[in-house]
This record gives sequence, structure tokens and C-alpha cells, in this order.
Amino acid sequence: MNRWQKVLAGGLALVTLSAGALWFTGALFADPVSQGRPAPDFTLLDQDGKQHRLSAYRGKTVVLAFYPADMTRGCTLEARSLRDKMSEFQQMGVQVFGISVQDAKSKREFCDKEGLNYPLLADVGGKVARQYGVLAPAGFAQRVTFIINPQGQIAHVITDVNVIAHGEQVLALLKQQPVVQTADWRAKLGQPVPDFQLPRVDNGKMESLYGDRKQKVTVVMFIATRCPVSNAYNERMRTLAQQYMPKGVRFVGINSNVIEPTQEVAEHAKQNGFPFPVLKDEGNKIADHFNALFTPEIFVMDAKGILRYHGRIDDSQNPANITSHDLRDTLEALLAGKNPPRAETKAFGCTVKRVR
Amino acid sequence: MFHRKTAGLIALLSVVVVAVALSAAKVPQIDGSGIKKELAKRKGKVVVLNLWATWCAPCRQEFPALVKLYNKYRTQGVDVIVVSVDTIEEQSQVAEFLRQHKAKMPAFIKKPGDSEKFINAIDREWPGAVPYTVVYDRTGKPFAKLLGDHTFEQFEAVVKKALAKRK
Repeated sequence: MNRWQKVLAGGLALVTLSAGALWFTGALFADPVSQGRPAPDFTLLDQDGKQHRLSAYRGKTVVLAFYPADMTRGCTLEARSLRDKMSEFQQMGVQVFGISVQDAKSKREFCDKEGLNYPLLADVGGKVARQYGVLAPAGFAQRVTFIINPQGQIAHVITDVNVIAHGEQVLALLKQQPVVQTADWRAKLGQPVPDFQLPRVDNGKMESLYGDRKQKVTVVMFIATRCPVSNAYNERMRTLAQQYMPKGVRFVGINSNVIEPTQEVAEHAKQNGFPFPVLKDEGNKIADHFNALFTPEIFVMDAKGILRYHGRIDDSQNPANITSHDLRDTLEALLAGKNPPRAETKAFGCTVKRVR
Repeated sequence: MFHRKTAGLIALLSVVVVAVALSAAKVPQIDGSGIKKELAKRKGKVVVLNLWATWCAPCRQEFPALVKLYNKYRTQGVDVIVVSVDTIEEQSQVAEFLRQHKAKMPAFIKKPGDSEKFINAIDREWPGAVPYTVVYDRTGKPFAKLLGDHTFEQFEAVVKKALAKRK
């Protein structure tokens, strides 16, 4: 064999080897279920022998993190990263699952060793991994994470999993594109208000409650075009927004009145120079979630989305007779890291006109 | 002499006319405890308490139904009380509205002062939105709470149920 033949043989061997390695780990044939497709349903046992059926989590966002094997280096780092962000996931109402082809006993050991606080599903035989298009020919799952929206569709596929900071990686995606939406919730003081989307009255585009989540405080104002009380507050709403938006407060107006069409609401917002987005709540679904009954009715959430204040803007329709600036005092308190002076207040207002 | 008498009579008459006109423009003021007293006076009757305001379109819209309800059921053990939550500056408008609608039922306007205290005195569950109507049974307990505007038929149905309720 001459020198060239040797080089050729070596090259060939190298190509074959690397192709084989790629094939073995599945990287060559990776074809995970794509975004927008329905997430294949399954029923699997976790480390405690508890059964989980994916479709039972409809209405919640689900994170399904496939990983090759329990106890291995990369998987341990990934699991720890998810573990450390669990309180944030829970706050957003997100259900996290780890999933790999090892059995429940192996999962139990892994959980005990790492103090894992979320279910690890035992996909013995790799049937579910195959359904999701992540089963490597060697028989184990590739490291791919799926985010499944509350409607049961794939919202994101993460193939470039950053094992050290996977928790942050998933959270960033959840925040960037608010897929977090529980089917049924009621706003309660001291409890998180989940994100939702409604169309803007000015351009019809979907706007999320929390936007880019950079704000420290979020103010939701149920407003009306035909309610004299709400209208008495137009100027105060504009001024408060102008004053507090630069301090990191996000304002969102919501119109849930069935008798006030989008066009009218858009005109009204423009005329009053509202510097905040006004959203139309057709069918008053969001008003129902908040149990918003009158206009103007205010809900204030802190940086973590916890409802901290509910009630009026201040205690007098006539600006000359105000003795208690409740919304302003709430914002000042929250920005200073304190509790609002009063969590709940009342005032006269107009009823929210609902669909019957 | 005769002229003096006439002049005196005219003066007296004009005083009466002015007094009547003034009293028509005045609506008695009431606070939370006042409403409780009014309700207590009517134990044994079904009472419909309606909270409204001149600035509130649905309130104005449902008002004729309350007048009709009062006229039809006042002799059948039902009373209707209307309380305006307008500010006191608005009281002549309130009086004018009552006059226009030939409202003969007991009518009041909220006494100036803490709105929240007033709201909670009437009903802790009331968020403060008007119109709001509470129907009390004959023992004086709330029988039904109606948020938003209602029709005569809806009011009548609730009142009939409250009347049918055993003491």
C-alpha cells in the first residue's frame, strides 16, 4: 500500500466512523415533531410509579425534556438546572417533565441523588421518544426539549439544549412568547395572574398582558367608552401612565363591554391620548377570569405576576375631592418593594356589560 | 283693607309655592345606617332597594320598570326604595329625574362622605357598580342581588318568588 492509498483508507475509515457515530446518536436522522403540530399523547409512569397522561395537562403549558440517560454528566447538569428554576415554572403554571428510556427505579435513584423536584417519566422501550422523532438508533432519546402549549400543540422545539442553563433557556422562551395560559383561573389577591393575549384595538395585533416582562409592576385597567365614571378618569389614567411608565410600570387597558365595538374603543383611546395599549376582550372572557364587574376597575400585579391590589384609582370622581390616591400609593409602595397600603378598595362605577 | 288682605294672601301663596318648589328640588339624604333603619321599618314586607345614578345610562333605562313595580305591588306587601349615588351637587337633577318619571316611591340621595363605607354598609359583596338592586325578603334578609340593569319582568319574577317564600 503506497502513501496515497493509506491516506485514502484512513479518510474513508474516518468518514465511516463519524457517519456511524452520527447515525448511532441519531444526529443524522434527527427529525423531531415540528412546531405547530399536535403533541403526541402518551401515558407513562414517573419515578414514584405515578401515571401521567399528557392530555390530562390540557389547559397548562407543558415542558417535555428528553435526555439520553439518568445519572450521566450532561443529564445531571440539565436536571439540576431545571430543578433550580422549578419555583418560577410553578409560578407561571408550567408543568415540567424529564423523560428518558430508563425505568422508574433508575429515575427514583436519579431523583433521590439530585433532589429533583419534578416528575421524570420512564419511557422504557423508547416508544414516546420515537413518536416525538427523537429516538436515536442506539435506543436512547436525544437531548431535545419540547414546549407544549395549553391547546396541546408543540409551541417550541429546543434542539440546542444548553445543559448548564437549561432552566433559564426554557424560561426565556416562555417569557418571550407567552404560551403560558391556563384554561381556567380566577384572579385572587396574593396569587399569580397568568399571562394571556388579547387583540389591540388600534391594530388588531395580539398583545400579551406582561409584554416583554421587563417591568416591575403591571397595571390592568378595565375601562369603558360610555361610562361617565370611567371617562371622569381618562385624564388621570393618562397622567398616571405617563408618570409611572418610565419608572418601570406597564399599563394595559382592557375593554370588555359587549356594547362598545372595537372601532369605538380605538377612537376613544386615541382621543384621550392613552399612552398604553388598549385591548378588546370579546365575550368578556378575561373580565370573567378577573371577575371584573365595573369600570374603571384596577388590578395591579408585581414583578412576579402576583396580584397585589384590586379596586379603584382614587376615592373621588371629582379630582378636587380626592382624599386617597389608592392606585398611585400602590405603585409607589410596590416600586419601593413594600406592600400596598390597602390591597382592596371600592368605589362607584358602571357595570361591565357582558354577553348574555 | 281689601287690598292688604289680597296682598297678604298672595304673599302667603307665593311662600307656599316657593317652599313646594324648593322641597321638590330637595331629595332627602341618606347614609348606610339610614338605609338600615329604612329597611328595619319595613320588616314584614318584601323590599326592593335600588342603587342608581343620573350619570348611569342603564340605571336610567331600567328606572321605569321600578316605578311600574312600585305602582303595581305597593298594595301587595312590596316596597321599593331608590337611592341615588350621585354627588350632592347633582341633587336637583336627581329631583328632576324623579319628577319626570312620576316616581312616588321613597327616594333618597347618598349623603356626602366615604363612598366605600356606604357601599360596604349596604352589601359587602357589592363592588360599587350601578345599577345594583337588592331584594329583601319579609324577614329583612337579602333574597336576591341583581347587578346591572333588569326588565320589569325580571324584577317581578324575583319579587313574586320573595313573596312566595315562607316567613
